[in-house]
Amino acid sequence: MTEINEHTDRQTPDFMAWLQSALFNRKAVEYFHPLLTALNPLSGPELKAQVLGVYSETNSAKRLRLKPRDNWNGFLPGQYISITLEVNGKNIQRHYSICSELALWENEGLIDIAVQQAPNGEMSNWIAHHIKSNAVIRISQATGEFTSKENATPKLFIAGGSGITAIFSMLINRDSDDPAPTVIYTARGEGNHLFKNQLTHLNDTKMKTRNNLVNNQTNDNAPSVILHDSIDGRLNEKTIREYCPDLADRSIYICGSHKFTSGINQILSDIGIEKEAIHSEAFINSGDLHTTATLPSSDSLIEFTRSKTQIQDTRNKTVLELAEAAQLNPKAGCRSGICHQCKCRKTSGIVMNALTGVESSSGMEDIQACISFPIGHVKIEL
Amino acid sequence: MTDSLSQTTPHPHSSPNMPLNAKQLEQFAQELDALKENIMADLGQTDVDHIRHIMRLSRGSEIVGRTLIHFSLDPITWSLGVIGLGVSKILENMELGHNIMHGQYDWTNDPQLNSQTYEWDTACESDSWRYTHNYEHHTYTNIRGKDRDYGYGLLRLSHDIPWAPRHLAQFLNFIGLTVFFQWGVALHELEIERIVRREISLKDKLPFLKRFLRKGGKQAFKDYLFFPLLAGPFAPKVFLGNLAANGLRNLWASSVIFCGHFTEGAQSFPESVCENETRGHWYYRQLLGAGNFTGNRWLHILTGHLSFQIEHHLFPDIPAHRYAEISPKIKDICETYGLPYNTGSFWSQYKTVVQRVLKYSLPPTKAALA
Repeated sequence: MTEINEHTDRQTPDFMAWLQSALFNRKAVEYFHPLLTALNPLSGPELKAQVLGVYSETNSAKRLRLKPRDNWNGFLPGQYISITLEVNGKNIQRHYSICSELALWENEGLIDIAVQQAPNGEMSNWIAHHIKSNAVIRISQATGEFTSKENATPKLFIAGGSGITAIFSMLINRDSDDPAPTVIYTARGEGNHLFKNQLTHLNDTKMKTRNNLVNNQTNDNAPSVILHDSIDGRLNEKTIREYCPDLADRSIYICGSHKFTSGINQILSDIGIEKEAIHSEAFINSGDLHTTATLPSSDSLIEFTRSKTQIQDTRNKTVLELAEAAQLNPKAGCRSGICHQCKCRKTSGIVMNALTGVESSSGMEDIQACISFPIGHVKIEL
Repeated sequence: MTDSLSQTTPHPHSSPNMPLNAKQLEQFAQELDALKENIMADLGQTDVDHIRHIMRLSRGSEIVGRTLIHFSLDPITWSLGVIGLGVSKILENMELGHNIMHGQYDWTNDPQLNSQTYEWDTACESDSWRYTHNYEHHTYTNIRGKDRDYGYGLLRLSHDIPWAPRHLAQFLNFIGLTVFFQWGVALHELEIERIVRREISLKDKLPFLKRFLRKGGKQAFKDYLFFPLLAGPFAPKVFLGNLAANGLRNLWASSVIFCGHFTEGAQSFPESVCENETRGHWYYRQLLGAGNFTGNRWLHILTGHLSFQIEHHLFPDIPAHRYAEISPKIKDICETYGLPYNTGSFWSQYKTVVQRVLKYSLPPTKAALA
């Protein structure tokens, strides 16, 4: 009996998949999706969320309040979600850290993300100018390893720009008996510190919470927050030591642009801080793109994510030639940009179109491998 | 090759009646490139809205068509169902499948509009189509011996192909190709003509035949087994309805495609042009190998905008519904360079196709006729 069951269990999904492809040439849900979304934008198999509100955090940052659908699984403080939006017909995807309290999710099923407007940011500018309440956006499950690890050691958080979002999430969601953390948050210019009010009042809030929880306890584990303005000078060894004299005894969390985190990591390793004490998360900032493009091309690297191979020094070679050099046997045709046989997915990084000389954005998109020159560090799904 | 661009000598591999010198050809290419860049920069929400609208229309029309065929008790309802299903297949094959698989909507990054994963509602497997059509046909358009779409290995359309007695019957092949078009397209990669010439063996094509059976089998199962059986005792009615809808699509698709490349004005080229071909010459060849026909917006949509075959061949990856706005500019450019722009009404173009098929079924000289 069990044998028969096992047999049918294995066969049924295969047969259903075959039947769907015979009747619809795709999954049934994909066939009906365009018809159903016309009736109800929230329908469909993807993870989606409805935008409940858009609020200005600073002159150049918005906070979005989202209500994810029931199939979303929640998050750990410090994690991010990817957001896919259709911007003028084009699907673009970016990652944003969740910056709201766990309680908001647990009690009301809501989360917040903060979006810092970048000068050339396709998505952040779209969000700043076009997104409205009730819009439906596609999201991913929360992901990321940049979460609060252990509680015994006091923490030092170092945030650059919108890197504060992940750290803010850890701060507002931390255990009340965690030892007092220090936060060094650098941003450029007056009024550009995200969550400035909430951060400076973390002290009071914490006090209040503690008074309610345990009477008469001192507030010696409230965080001390330093808002640094990078116009006054970048963070260096001296300023970091000044802000946090006992940094050697702390576990350190760094979040910011790739440039920022690698700079801070360098400073810390020069001081002699052990790698194990440092957790860092970097993101690609569209402002950095042009510096990436002018990098010496010997710093170039192409990664083929499916086959887990990579090639250094990609100078003057197309993505197709590099894939062939890596012996991946990629599909190809005309080799001149006509037939699209060599289309592949770029998960991140910039490529230049050989026919038009135009540089791509840094996000995920489909590219023609035969006419794409990689610039800097590029990841391809091959 | 680049050296010769600055000189005024004609392209060494061009056809003998090439009216442009190398420099003019390069300017011609630059004008077309600029036109393309303008359109590509302008692509946006309206293009995606258009293709999704057609997708909903095609799927809605399929659902209505199959429902009418299924429940029909009179010939009128049944016929309406056939038309609904036929129109759905036409929209799906022409405006959706053909155009999406060309990569016209890849810039949207929408998985449902992805050229490499789209699968269409016809016997031909998408991968096979992408290879024989996007690569072979669009790269080597109307090059005799390289573009196997040129006559589909069945039709003799120029005296450059030696005459044989079997060509006398080519009008029957033409009719057969029209009626069974989807199966002809599905079997295109088999290269029957090369098997007949014993250049390759059937054994070489076994992997392809497996793929053909897998996809063709699914299509046959759907239209000739699954939906008929769903109607129980009325199965024959559904079987015939689906056959008629497929027939309608075959007739329409084949006629549109014949008008695109087999008209009197469509030129063919020798294999030598492929060597070091410049972009300008490639454009020139695309222009001369194609023909348009006129009509209103819905006729263009039903042809998948292949009524703008010239624009499609110059810019296979521009969303096809944009060809109408490009067309006058191409005409202007053609006039400037003194190049022909082959267009006419559907019937006038189709007439020249039939005449051409008949003309070349006979040997070249009058002596041979006698």
